[in-house]
Amino acid sequence: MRTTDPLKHHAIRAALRIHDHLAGTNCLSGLIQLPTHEWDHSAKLLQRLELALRRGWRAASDSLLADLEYSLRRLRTECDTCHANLPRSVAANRLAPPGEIVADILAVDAEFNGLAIKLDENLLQVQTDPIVLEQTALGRFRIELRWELIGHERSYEVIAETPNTPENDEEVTHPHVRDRLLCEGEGKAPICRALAEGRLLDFFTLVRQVLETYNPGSAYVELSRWNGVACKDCGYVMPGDGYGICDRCEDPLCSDCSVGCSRCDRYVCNGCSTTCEACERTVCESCLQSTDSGRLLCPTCLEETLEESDENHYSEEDASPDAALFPTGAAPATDALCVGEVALPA
Amino acid sequence: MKVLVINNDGGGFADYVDVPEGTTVRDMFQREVRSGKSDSYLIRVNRQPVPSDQVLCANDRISFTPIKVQGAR
Repeated sequence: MRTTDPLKHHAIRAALRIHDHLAGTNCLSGLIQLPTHEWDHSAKLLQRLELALRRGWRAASDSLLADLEYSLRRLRTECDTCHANLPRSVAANRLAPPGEIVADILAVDAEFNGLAIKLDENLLQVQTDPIVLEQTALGRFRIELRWELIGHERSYEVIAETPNTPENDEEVTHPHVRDRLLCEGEGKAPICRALAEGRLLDFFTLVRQVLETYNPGSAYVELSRWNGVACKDCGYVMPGDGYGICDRCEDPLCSDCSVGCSRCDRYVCNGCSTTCEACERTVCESCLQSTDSGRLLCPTCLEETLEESDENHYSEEDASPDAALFPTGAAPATDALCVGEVALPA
Repeated sequence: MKVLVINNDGGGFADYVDVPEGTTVRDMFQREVRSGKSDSYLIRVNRQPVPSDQVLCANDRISFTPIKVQGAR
């Protein structure tokens, strides 16, 4: 076969190599996998939920119930996928002949931008049009297929040309792409089968269709949170270029959730604030001090309590017939707040 | 006559099937993708987009690819 068209020449050489690789590999071997991982995960969640219910942990129970519900939904989806992946017969696997693979490569060139065939790297790559999902521009994506890896893990990658990542996860370049890996969802079986059979046009088309579809129910980062930062306490999404933070832990915090410390005047989140056990004013955890008996008090209350304790202590000393045994400055250690309890000397 | 049918919905199966002469793209879609609407799919014959009333020929390769394919995380 002779051709002067460089693209066709490269396509033929690539097609022959791809065909050879696919003919020697059982590329469908990993397609049918029973969802044992999801089953095990659900069983563990159920155990933890039962424990939380027995102990009366209401908040933990609610959270675990939601996790279990999500896990069971995934289990059901995985079972459906597994069922759908069963071939009609054991002889149904069909490998495209080299001529069809060449036709696919030429069709890919007509349908996608920037087809590159890198024979020395066993690589085929194309570029999508700019992708916009729910008014969020994610830019173009490059799909790189390394054909010698078909049938193994990660034979292709999806790379953002001009990444628009959410603020809190730079590995995510698309709601369904993390670390260049597309989570194919519904597309898993048809993509795997298209690759195994050498249907490259179908493969690139399917990957593009997944990239052009948004599934908010199962996204690494939801688009509603893409261009903003969620308040740590209530989840309210604030603009990325203007939001408050907790002065202590520095997590994002909205104005409704920030609490002023009555001692140091810093604004802190719910997790970094607490109330003084004596005066019940809100203070940040750094300003709170613990007494010997374990009470948590603000510095003002702690000082007052110590003074009170000292006064009571000295008045008791004066009245005690044993006062002479404890000269001033040599009294045994006492709990400042457990007034009236004096440790006996050894 | 035999045609190669590729259904990229669900399991993504490709198989040769026997169809009568005069079978159109619409007929084939209704036979292979029973629950979907044709405007929700990219329908190609021999890798080219086609109208739904096109009549299939022997050894044609017809493929149905959903426009929306939901990814996951």
